[in-house]
Amino acid sequence: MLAGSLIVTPVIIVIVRSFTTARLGAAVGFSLDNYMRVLHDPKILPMLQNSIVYAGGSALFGTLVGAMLAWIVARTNTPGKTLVELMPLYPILMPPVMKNIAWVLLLSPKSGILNNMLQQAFGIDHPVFNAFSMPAMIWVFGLTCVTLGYLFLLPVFLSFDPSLEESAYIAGSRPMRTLLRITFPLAIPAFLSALVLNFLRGLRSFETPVLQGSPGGIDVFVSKVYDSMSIDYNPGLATAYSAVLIVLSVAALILYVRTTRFSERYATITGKGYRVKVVDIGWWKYAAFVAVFVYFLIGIAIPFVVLIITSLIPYYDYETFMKFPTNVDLASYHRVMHHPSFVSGLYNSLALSIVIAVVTVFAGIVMAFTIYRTKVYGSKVFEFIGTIPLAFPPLVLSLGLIIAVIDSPFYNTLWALGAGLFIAYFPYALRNASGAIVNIHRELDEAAWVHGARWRHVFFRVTLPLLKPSIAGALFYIFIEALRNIDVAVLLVAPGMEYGPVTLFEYFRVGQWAEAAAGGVIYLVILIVTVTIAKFVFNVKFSL
Amino acid sequence: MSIVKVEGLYKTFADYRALDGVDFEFKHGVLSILGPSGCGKTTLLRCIAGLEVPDDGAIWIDGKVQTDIRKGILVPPYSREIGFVFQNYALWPHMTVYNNVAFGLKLRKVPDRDIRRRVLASLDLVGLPKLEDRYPSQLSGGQQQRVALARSLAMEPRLILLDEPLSNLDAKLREEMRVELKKLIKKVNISAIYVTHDQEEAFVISDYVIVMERGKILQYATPDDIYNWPAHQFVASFIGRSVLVDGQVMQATGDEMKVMIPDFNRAVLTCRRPNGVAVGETCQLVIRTSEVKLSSRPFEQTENVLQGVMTSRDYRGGLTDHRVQIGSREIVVTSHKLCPMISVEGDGNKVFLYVDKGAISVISDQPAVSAQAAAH
Amino acid sequence: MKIKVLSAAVVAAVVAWSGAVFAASAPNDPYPKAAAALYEKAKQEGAVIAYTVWDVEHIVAILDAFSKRYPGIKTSYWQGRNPEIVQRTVTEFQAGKESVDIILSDNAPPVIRAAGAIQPYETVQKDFLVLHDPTMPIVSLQIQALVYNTKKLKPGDLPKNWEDVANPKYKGNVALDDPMRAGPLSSQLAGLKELWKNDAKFAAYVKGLKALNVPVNKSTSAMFRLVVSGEYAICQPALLHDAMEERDEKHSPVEIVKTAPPVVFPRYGGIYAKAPHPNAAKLLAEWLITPEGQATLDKVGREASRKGFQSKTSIEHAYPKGTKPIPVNDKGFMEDPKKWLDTNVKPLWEG
Repeated sequence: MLAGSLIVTPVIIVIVRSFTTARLGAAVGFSLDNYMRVLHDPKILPMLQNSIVYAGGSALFGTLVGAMLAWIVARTNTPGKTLVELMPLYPILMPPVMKNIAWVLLLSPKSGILNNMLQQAFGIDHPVFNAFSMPAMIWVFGLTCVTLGYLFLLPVFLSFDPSLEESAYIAGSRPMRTLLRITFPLAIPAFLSALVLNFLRGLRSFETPVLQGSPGGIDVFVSKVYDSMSIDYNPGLATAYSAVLIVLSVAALILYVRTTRFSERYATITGKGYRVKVVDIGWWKYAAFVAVFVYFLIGIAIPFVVLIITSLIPYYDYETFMKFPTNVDLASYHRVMHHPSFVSGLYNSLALSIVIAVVTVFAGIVMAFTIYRTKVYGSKVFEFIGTIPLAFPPLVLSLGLIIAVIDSPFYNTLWALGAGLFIAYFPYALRNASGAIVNIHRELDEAAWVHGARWRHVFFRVTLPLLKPSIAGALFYIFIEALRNIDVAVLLVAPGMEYGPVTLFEYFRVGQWAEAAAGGVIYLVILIVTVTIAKFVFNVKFSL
Repeated sequence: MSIVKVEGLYKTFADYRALDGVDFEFKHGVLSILGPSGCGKTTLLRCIAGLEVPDDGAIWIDGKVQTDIRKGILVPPYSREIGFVFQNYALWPHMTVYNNVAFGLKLRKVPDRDIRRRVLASLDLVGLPKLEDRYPSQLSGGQQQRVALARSLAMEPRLILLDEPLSNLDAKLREEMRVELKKLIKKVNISAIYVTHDQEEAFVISDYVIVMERGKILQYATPDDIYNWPAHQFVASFIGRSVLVDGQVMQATGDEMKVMIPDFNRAVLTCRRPNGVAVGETCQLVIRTSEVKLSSRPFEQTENVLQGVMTSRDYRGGLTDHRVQIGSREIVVTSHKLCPMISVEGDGNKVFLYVDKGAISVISDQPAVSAQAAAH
Repeated sequence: MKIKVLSAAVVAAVVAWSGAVFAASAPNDPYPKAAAALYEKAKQEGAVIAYTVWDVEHIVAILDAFSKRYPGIKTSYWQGRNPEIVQRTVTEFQAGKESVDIILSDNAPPVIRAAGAIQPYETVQKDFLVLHDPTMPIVSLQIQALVYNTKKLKPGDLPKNWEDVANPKYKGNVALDDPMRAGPLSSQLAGLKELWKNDAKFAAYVKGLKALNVPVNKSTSAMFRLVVSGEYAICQPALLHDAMEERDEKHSPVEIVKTAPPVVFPRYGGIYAKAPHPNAAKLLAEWLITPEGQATLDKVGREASRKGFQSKTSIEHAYPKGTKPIPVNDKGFMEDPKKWLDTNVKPLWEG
């Protein structure tokens, strides 16, 4: 409930302010002016259409790919177990904006690497790929959507009663058919959770539309929201525009809630003991390995190599790029390493991200447990409230938070920053936990309950241990995301506080691609080494 | 004092009424709640356990009120001191067998030594010694079921509730288990409420049976009474192989009466007469076909003999189903290999059927709970 | 290595040049006296807090140099984008927070001033400035240049001036900034409108840009990157210091169109209305305008606002002698850019 009120306060502030006449913060009077402006804006329909195609397309593409990967890793006898387990993990580490930059370099019509290569190799004069088109936007953002699909579905498949699949095989169903008809339908709650989140992320994502959309003349709705803040300085108007996004997210959530209404149907963790079995998919296993490897290539390896080269050459154009490595220049690394707050900021944000990941994930589980397992009055409403922060532009939300805490002693402390990050990531934690809890058969709780357990016993001794795999995924994701968050955090950083992402990722913000690439490469190398060491030295199992 | 008493229980889910005014009282022993799926039997059990909150009504266990909606009393499940065995066993997959069984005892802060003793004793009781370190996934279905039972027994509850506990087992194991289960419950001498949709199982295991349909109790009696005196056509058709026909009372003397059956070419059958049935009234007869004798030659007696035509025979190993057309109805009579009642040369031949008075139950407007059961 | 040589050269140039300036203007320079008085009070205040849009590397270097010159004043900063600075400052102002002393930024300070959260302060060094605002010291400049890719465009094909970019022959080769956002093109339009004082010419220019029928960019830096990479030939517009850095340090194939005069936009040091350390803030603003302060700015790649200050990113260095910059000084545009654009550009651009 504390989490609830923490989220509700800024949300209410933001919504109330959208009904005021104030341009610059001060609440002057009640007015529907902002909403009238939104309703009378003739441009919003085509923009909204673009937004839905873009967000829906990438969410669907990314979540499906993520789900397929999760199934391959969790359930098949694909060769190279360790490699297959690790390969989908690395792309998660790459911040979305790095992917944007890398793919712009790869796919630009005239200056892009791939088009130029095609021209040189085959003499194809007209550009084959266009980074500044809707398919390319969906491609790149879709790749960033794979993460949630993978992390949300992996625990489901890992706890899957194999008899459900085996009976289909015995009935003569082929692996792919079984996958589509039996396995995926049971994973629907987790899949929808990831899909809805990805869709909302897409609706409000700004990097892809700016870097790829606007040069291609594709305007998305969120740029209206952004303009309201950046040129109008009007958070109320921004919220009024966001109201459209909020309506869309509530619609998406209603779809989710309706689909998972009969949650017993989706219980894959039952009280019937079974051994999670690997499915022999025959020759498909080689195809599966290739699929994972291809994802590894396009998800991180190729963009990463492009970025490494870009960070090592003086500037990017195709000619200079192809001269590598005769023109290596370490200036970008020199600059990044001498950044005044690189080390201390990274340290602060590492510490904060770990704390935030733990707190948020735990709160998400408590909330999901309350919603789905207790009869606390009105708890279902939190399905929506807990997700609404996702629909606000980060800056607007951040502003709501500032207003909420400005007169409290928490202002300009690490606590306020923590609260901001908490609210920003709570929706992910909640969706992840509710998807996972729905997969645990209610009887397991009830069995504890009738055998003398109170709610806290049920929660700590039954639910929490059973949620372990999805907790691991959510912790990993929120940690990685919080580590690079700047949108929500920025207003809450006190003067003099060194906070990693703000310093490291400002290169992305100011568009210094070479330095951004260098910073990103350093950051990625740290994470990749960490993950790899965790895997091989400490034998941390990323897939249970 | 009754172990369970239920009064005026109502429960509606969205658009369907699971419990529609359920009242009963049960003193001691094993009670089965029998009915088709969706009849409300599981909801009733869950209400007793406190897992479900009824819309209205009251529940007492061992004389103490557990649920009373009007008074706002609702004892949580963890304080009801009952055992519950779930259909899907509901064993916690992350705990060993030992920890599954010890779970409730640990929460009650029973001393460790006592926990160990009681867990091992319960596992011994259900026939699973030396398996305490395994995980549920390393056990067979039958073994898992026993663990679930041991988990409940270890708590030494005053009442154990079982929700279709055997429905996940294969047919052979199910038959073994139900006998064993009965012995076990008698041995530890606690009361049990047993929910099932299998009448055979209900009859084998229980002292009393409640038959439910659409949220209502149709009959509450001993297995024997339910079989012989089905109070309702639904009960009759749900219990065993039987044929239900409409009839008209032609003659009524003492405890016997003669009933004319229009569907059977207006044949007349003599049967027991329920209280207060008079000449000219219509009634329904339930004929248990398993008790019908079949012959290709006429019987010595003429009373209660029907004539029909054999239409086909289906061999089922030791048993044979004979389909016989009588008037406008077709009935199926099963004969056993060891006592062949008939040697009919071919289909289309005339056959004779003898229906003993004891094979006929009469359904009239009797009260749902029979006199015998109410006395308990 | 390269960086060292470069900075040595800059320092040498600055020293040589500033010596000359000091010699010429020392007697009537009001700074030393004003600074001494401010420093006295600032020491008692003991701290200064800056909100800035500038890169962390830059602000850290600037505050370090300031601390070296004026010890005893603890410096701290918070870095954000303009909308973030505006929202944070105005919100804090309305809550009565004494949270910040000086706002170092371009677009944000006029908007904050319009909300009443700036205390007017006129610099004592106004005579030395390229652009002057009597309420907020202009400590640096944003200089826009017309930039092209030398591999993509031959010198003979260059546009001659800003209006020439609207020539249909450049269609498909122009990376065009979105004139309806708070980007450099909108401020350029505000500058040109004021300069030309000719509505027909202005209308023809905006409509000409529109007639190019190219998608508009929403990120100044990404757009510049695309010109460097050869995706586009002309950057309408780019920032001078970006272009100079690319050309001279990375040897990227970019060059400025020297016949198109630069557009200069102020970067302010605005003093917050409820500043807890107002004297320290004023001292910082004044110091930034001194040759030493300007050299510090220049060293991190920021353009000087002081007349005649010679550096790699100064107009005098990049453009031929006698080039007259186009100042952006329209108060209406500065304080409510959205309203100004809706009135002056939107009807032409969308009509």
